Amino acid sequence: MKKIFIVMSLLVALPSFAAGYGSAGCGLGSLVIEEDNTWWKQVIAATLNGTGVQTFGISTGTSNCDSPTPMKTAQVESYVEANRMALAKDIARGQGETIANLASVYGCKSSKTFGKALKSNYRSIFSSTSTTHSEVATRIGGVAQTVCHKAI
Amino acid sequence: MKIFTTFLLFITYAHAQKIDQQWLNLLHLKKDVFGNYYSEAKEEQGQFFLHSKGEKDPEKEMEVTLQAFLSEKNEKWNKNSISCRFPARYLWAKSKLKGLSRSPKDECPYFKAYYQKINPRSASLIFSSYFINVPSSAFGHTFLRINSKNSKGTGSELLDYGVNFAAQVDTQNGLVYLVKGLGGFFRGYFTTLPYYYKVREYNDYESRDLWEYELNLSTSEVDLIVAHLWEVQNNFFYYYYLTKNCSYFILELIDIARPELNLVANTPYYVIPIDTVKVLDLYPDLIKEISYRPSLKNKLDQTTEKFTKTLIKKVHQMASHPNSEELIGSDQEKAELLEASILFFDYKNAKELVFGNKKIEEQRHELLLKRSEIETILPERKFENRFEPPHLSHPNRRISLMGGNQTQLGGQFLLEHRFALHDIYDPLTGHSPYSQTEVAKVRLRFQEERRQYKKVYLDEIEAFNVANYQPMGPWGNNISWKLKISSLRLDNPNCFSCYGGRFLGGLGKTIGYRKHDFLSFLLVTGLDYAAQLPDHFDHIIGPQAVFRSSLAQLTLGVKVNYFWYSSFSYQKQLLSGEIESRYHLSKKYNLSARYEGFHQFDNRYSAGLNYFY
Repeated sequence: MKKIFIVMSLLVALPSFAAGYGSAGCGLGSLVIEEDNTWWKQVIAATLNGTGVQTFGISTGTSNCDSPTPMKTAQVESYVEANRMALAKDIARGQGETIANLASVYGCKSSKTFGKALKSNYRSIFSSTSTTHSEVATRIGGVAQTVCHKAI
Repeated sequence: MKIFTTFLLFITYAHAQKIDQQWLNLLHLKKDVFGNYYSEAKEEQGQFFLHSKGEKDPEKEMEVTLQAFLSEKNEKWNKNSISCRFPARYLWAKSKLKGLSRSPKDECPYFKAYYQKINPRSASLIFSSYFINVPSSAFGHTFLRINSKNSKGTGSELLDYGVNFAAQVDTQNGLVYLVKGLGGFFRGYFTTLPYYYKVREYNDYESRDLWEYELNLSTSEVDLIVAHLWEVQNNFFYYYYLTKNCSYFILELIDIARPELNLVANTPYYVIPIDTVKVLDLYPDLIKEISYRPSLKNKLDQTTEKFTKTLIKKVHQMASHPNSEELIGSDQEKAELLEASILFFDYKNAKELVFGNKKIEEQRHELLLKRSEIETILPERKFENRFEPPHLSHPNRRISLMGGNQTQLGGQFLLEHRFALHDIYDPLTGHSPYSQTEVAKVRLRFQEERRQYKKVYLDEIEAFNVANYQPMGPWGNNISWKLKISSLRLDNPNCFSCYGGRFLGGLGKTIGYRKHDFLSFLLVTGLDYAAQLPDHFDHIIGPQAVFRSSLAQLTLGVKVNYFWYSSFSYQKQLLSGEIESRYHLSKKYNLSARYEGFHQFDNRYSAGLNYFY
């Protein structure tokens, strides 16, 4: 018994991986982007199974990821943060995978109706390029609330 | 007392049996050459082995672990409980030992949140296709997708999680990179990220197709993977580019979920990503479904394939000056033009968009705003998959046996081995039809001398020979290129047939026509080194034309070169060419016939068999 106690006390407090990558502050903003297209490096890399070279290096430290915001808004916000390009495009077109995704997050029955409503609100959702992810998420939530008849 | 009895019973069981494979997999234990155990998982923080000799003695480790689990049996768990620190080991023990019945995913404070976020249902192996333009990705890449219950039925893969294994590259120096990569000096880590990050990285930023192989694993098997990822969050693994790489460690995860597969043991020593998919395919029913997620470039190509020249021009204008162009035509036409322009804009500015270039973002915003103002919603396009899945490709390694004759040397037999991967005359199935990635090719020549083939010569060693003959299209990225480093009998007119080293690179343009046929024009330049060359080094420069055509089972290629070979004190030109034809009997065998001509120097003929394995 004593031994196990020692073992346990040896286990230092583990970083809370748990809070996950989903919450705000853990998205693309915290990605370390390594750009290296030096030709000779690529040449050398060509001989290797260089699958370890990543365009995005992502740190696993997530202590900054705890967020008190309600699950759904936080979830959508991080989704917007990582996926804003595709999302803006889909909303401008009124359809697409990201709209289907959000419809499922909000429990919208018809992603078609949801897409149409988002499309007609494009200008207000993405009022400018400096609109924050959280504003975008909130506005999408607003549309979902009216169209999907569901509280967030 | 009861606990103790159960425990004793189990220990007896454990001793009676061979040590459980799943347990070894959970500890990443392998045997070294002396038959001793060692773990690939290295401790960085915290502890991975509970017993001080746990790494060498899996049975001891098992005993200590089970003791810990049993002692926590009736305690309230917290995040430091052994049962919560090692949830996969707990799940494993639970399946073996009656005394354990609790559930880490419901009772462990932090693990619970992590588990719920991922909420696993099933798993898919994702192959990110060959990406010749960034040669580090020329062999492809694999990672795992944990399909979430949250996404079930919605078709929303973007809500799933991607599990990636990658080395932490800590150098900008190419040589250091090479040494560290091959020698296993980089540390590799598992990362778990929402799948949409991976889609952005590969599909959009690098414009690579993603092939998704859904695996026939049960939810409880996938649970083990998810729980194990939790266990190794503070571990690193030494990364070896050729053997223990991204694809290797992903297979280890699947072996944890279902140890009887023993995938790692069935994988070739040198792990080329696509080979791991081929290994999965060896097991009946292990691959449940194959799906395809087209790259941005493929989407653009398919969306615009019926566009007229005028329309393509408009797309270009719209994408560079969203506001200068007057939109005409029906709403449907306007919407089509704008949507194609958005795709092209994203493709053209992929890099700027990832790095957050403000000006580009503004331009895109204008373009999207314009699209949103046209009410029409176009019918949803289903992108076809026009290529065959990559696991159907020919095996990577190739042995050739040829008989031949050369004007200068006479009769000979040639024996060649290529380590990887594909050349432009190999069967196209599953490969990018315009690229070539050949690594480590060695050719021996058994030369006839007085009617005997007793002498063996090293004819050529090729370190690599890569090329991309991407045909010109309306959307840019039209440069073709090639690069080759080898040592061989030089075809240099200043010292013909001297043995030496050669570095050759070329740039040019390619015209594509019919299905995957092409004609390419390149300007080639390079350097020859041979001790027998008067100045030791010669500079090479000149044009090259490359033609390749496929007709059913037959592939035909022609190359013509006109190169200047010069140093400070001399110069000579040489016209040379080659014709190669291959007839594919199957994925594994083809017949080859080849002619090479060197004006006024040599004519070489050879024919024989290629075997892929």
